[in-house]
Amino acid sequence: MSKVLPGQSNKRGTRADPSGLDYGRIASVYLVFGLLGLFTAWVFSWQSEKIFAGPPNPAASVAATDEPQEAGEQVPTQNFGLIGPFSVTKANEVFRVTVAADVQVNRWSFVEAELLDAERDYLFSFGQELWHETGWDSDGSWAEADETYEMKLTVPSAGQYYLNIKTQGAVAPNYVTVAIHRVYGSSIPHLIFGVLTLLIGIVLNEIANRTIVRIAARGFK
Amino acid sequence: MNDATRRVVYATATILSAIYLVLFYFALDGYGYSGHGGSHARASRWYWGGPETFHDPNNRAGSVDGTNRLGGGPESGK
Repeated sequence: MSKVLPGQSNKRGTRADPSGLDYGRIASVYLVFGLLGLFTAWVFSWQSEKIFAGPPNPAASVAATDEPQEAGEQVPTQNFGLIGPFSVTKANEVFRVTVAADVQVNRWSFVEAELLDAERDYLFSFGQELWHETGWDSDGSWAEADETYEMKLTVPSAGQYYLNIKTQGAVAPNYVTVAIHRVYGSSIPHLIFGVLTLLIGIVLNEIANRTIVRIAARGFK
Repeated sequence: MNDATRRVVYATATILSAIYLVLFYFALDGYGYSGHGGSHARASRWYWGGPETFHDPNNRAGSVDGTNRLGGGPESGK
């Protein structure tokens, strides 16, 4: 015969010890705050203002010529175009940058965006290899592509900034479009809070009600 | 709900509410993404799925004759 702990339900679903802690109630508090945290994190990812959307301006690129090829490189890097200047009104504003490219069939291109300050000095950059593949197999023709990526970044101080778009690959993409949106803030703090409180809530709920254990047991029958 | 449970529920809700509100400061300060704390700062491990980031202008930054201003990216080695 299994022992029922204080606050834990017995087989009939009644509390074994009415004077003990009801872990089910405490779990509910954690679960509510966990969901609230995740919802708040989602709200912070909403865009508050569009800064730019469209192709970068090739004529205004930082350097008109390709960068010199370095030892070990197979393909050169090209400056594709420049975006900006755009204004950051206060320190630590969060932006979401979406980069999309039309990569030629069976080609790849590493599309990189450099964040430059008002003097066009390099601050940091981000990028991803985008590709487009097609082929044939026993099921017929197939096509797969990864031609877009998204980056959230915090701009550390107010001022004017540029994004310099560069591409590296045997063939440059047909076009690259970039969208920059200001978002309400960082989702990370409330995401961490939400995940941790949800986990604590689930553990406490298992101690009290064994919900997952019962559902799993029902599934095995 | 007995008194002991009620006290724990109220205390837990109060503490979690305080933490939840304090986190707004960090959220509005851009915590967790590349660039928070300076242009050299990398993103938190909790930010996943984003592209690669490059925080040094290039790998020549420490070289005697390095130009230090060629830009980042996978091609930025010596």
